[in-house]
Amino acid sequence: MTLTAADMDAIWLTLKLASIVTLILLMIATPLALWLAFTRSRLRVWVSSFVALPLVLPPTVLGFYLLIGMGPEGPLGQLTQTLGIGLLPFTFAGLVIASLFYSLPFVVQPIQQAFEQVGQRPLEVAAIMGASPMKRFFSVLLPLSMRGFLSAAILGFAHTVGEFGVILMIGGNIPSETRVLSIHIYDQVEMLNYAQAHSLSALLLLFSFFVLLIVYSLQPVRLTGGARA
Amino acid sequence: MLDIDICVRQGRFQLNIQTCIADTGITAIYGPSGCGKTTLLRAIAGLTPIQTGSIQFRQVCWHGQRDSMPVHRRQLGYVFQENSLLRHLNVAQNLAFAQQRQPQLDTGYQQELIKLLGLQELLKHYPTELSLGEQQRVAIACALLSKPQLLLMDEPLASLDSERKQRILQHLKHRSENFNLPILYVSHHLGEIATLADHLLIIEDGALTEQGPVNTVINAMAKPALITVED
Repeated sequence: MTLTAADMDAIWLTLKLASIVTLILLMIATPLALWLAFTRSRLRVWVSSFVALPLVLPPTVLGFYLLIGMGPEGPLGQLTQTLGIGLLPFTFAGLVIASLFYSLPFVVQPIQQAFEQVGQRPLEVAAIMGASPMKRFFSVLLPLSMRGFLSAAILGFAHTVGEFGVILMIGGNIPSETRVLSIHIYDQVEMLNYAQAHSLSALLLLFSFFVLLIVYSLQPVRLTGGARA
Repeated sequence: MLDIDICVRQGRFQLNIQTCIADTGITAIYGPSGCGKTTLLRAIAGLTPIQTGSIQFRQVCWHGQRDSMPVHRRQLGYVFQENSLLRHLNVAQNLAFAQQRQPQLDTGYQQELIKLLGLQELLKHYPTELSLGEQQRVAIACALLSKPQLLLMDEPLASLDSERKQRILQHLKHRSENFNLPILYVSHHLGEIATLADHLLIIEDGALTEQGPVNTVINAMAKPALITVED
């Protein structure tokens, strides 16, 4: 299996996109998951449903609305134009924005579930012992939900790596700019270049399998620590 | 004094308490299951939202019409019925975490409590490796080590054997008298209350029905149904 320069380009671009998106998503998802896990607000179901939308929506639909939103007439497009950034469709930055929406539930939900599993009691205990909200988050909630964060980061990364429909809609197929691995494979198939498509697909298949292997081995039952009865 | 005038609604249950609790000695809270004893302690601690009312402790407003003092600033100790420990920290680390309000660890008192509560062998263990009784003993040590101004205890000795229970009760009484530490103590055990408490509150169905010096209230209790709870 030999990888061409174009293959390496696509792999590098994909890893860059997934890393940036995962980092930003962890920062956005943590406060969101915190709110969703502990709020009593009636808005909770609305926000939960919005966050989960990419799970059920065809990626082309999400991509289409992002294309419109980031286009010259869209609200985000007008904002980026006013700020002098220009338009985001068919740029790497546009891919990042789209991937943030696309992978949001894969990062929010594991963190939210981890927070819910921790529950209020450890936070109450820490508050009674004099811990400020910041200390409660960093010394109690974070260590107790570390597995949720790891799952979230891995799933967010892997899901962004596997992104196809949304990217095709808003990113097109520009080498070194928006041609990520999944699109590159599609191109190879279109050109009847099956051997190359096969090499890259096998790579993604192995990658996905090992990601899931890691996620499932992170399940609490498998580890010592929180599972002792 | 601990001045309480609160209304707490939780679904169909409603707790309405207006009272003044002495800020010395041990005040026991007694009543049938589900009468609101735990809700009262949680409301005082700031863990359960209060719909209307106020709480003042030693002239400091803990909860008023406009704002509420955050839990971590109230200088409380609280021994919950269960799960009073941080499960990702071992016993020694829990004891250290409980002392974060102090500039330095009080190793002298910590050693005294470790001996009194029999924690020597447990220090390296995590809460999930301990029995309920052991967890409660550690929780009592944490609560006392946090140098509280007010100690709330929700049936803290229910899972302990009677010999150890007596020693802990004596220590609580001694601590309360000598360190100006008022203790609110929820118990289902009238015998325990009679030996430990100075004052007694009786709550039924979310409302205060009796209050006063412990002997007076126990003698005046005309409801045999309540007394039979004693085992």
